Amino acid sequence: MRKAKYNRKRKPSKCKRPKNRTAQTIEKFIKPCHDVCTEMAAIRINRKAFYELMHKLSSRPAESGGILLGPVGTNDITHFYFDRGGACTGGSYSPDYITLNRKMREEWLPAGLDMKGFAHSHPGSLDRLTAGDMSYIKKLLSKNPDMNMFVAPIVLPNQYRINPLIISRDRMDYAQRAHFEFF
Amino acid sequence: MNVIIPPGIFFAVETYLSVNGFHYFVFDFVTQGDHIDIYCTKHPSLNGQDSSVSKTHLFSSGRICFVAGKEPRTRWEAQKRAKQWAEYFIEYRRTGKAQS
Repeated sequence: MRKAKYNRKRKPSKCKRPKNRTAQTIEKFIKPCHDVCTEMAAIRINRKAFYELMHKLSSRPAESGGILLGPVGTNDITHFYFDRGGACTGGSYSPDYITLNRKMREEWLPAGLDMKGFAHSHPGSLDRLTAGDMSYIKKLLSKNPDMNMFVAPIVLPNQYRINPLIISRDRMDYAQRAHFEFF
Repeated sequence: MNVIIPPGIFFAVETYLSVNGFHYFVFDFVTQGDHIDIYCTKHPSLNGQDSSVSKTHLFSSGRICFVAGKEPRTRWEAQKRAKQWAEYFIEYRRTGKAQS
């Protein structure tokens, strides 16, 4: 009797888990945005850069951050560089501007990449840009007249969540919600 | 093509725990031209004391009131003044004695 049970042919699994798990993981972050904000501005970001960003910033306590890079002349983001040298406290992140400027001059600009923005993390559930953030972003935009918009997503490590925000040069006092477009 | 990253700080909020260790404050600093406005976004209750601006030195917007021309001009100074105000606030809620 027992032998017969073991010889029985195994039924095919009914599990409907998609084979492409990475795509599903990305959807998890962006779904709330896609549902409600079809007319929002889009942040075009490379999947690899997005993973890098989420991995680095979500695995550390707030605040930490890094620079978003992409090809000159486009708004696409293709790279994320985590700023290891930045001064991070529980309530602030100060970029290591000396290292970043040097890398920009010596590595990124010669490779055809320029700054598209900064991603940084916030404590708790504070998913908006604060006045302190805005004043630094204004400073960054004023020093870089070629940038027409600044991408400033906020990562919440506690909730493993990201809020995509952009600041356009026309309205430097207003952080606009956007959505990610992956490529 | 040139990209410049100037020195600066992305700061979320500044929290302060009172000297007696019982009260928790959250501050937000906003640069306004040549000075910095301090906003208190979280503070303990007034414990039944009068909530008028002349006594609490706190506007309904959350901005802390300073005499014109005496506002903090550096972040360090703003942090110091925020702490001083927080300690004053605790004393006021306890005793009801206001400073002018």
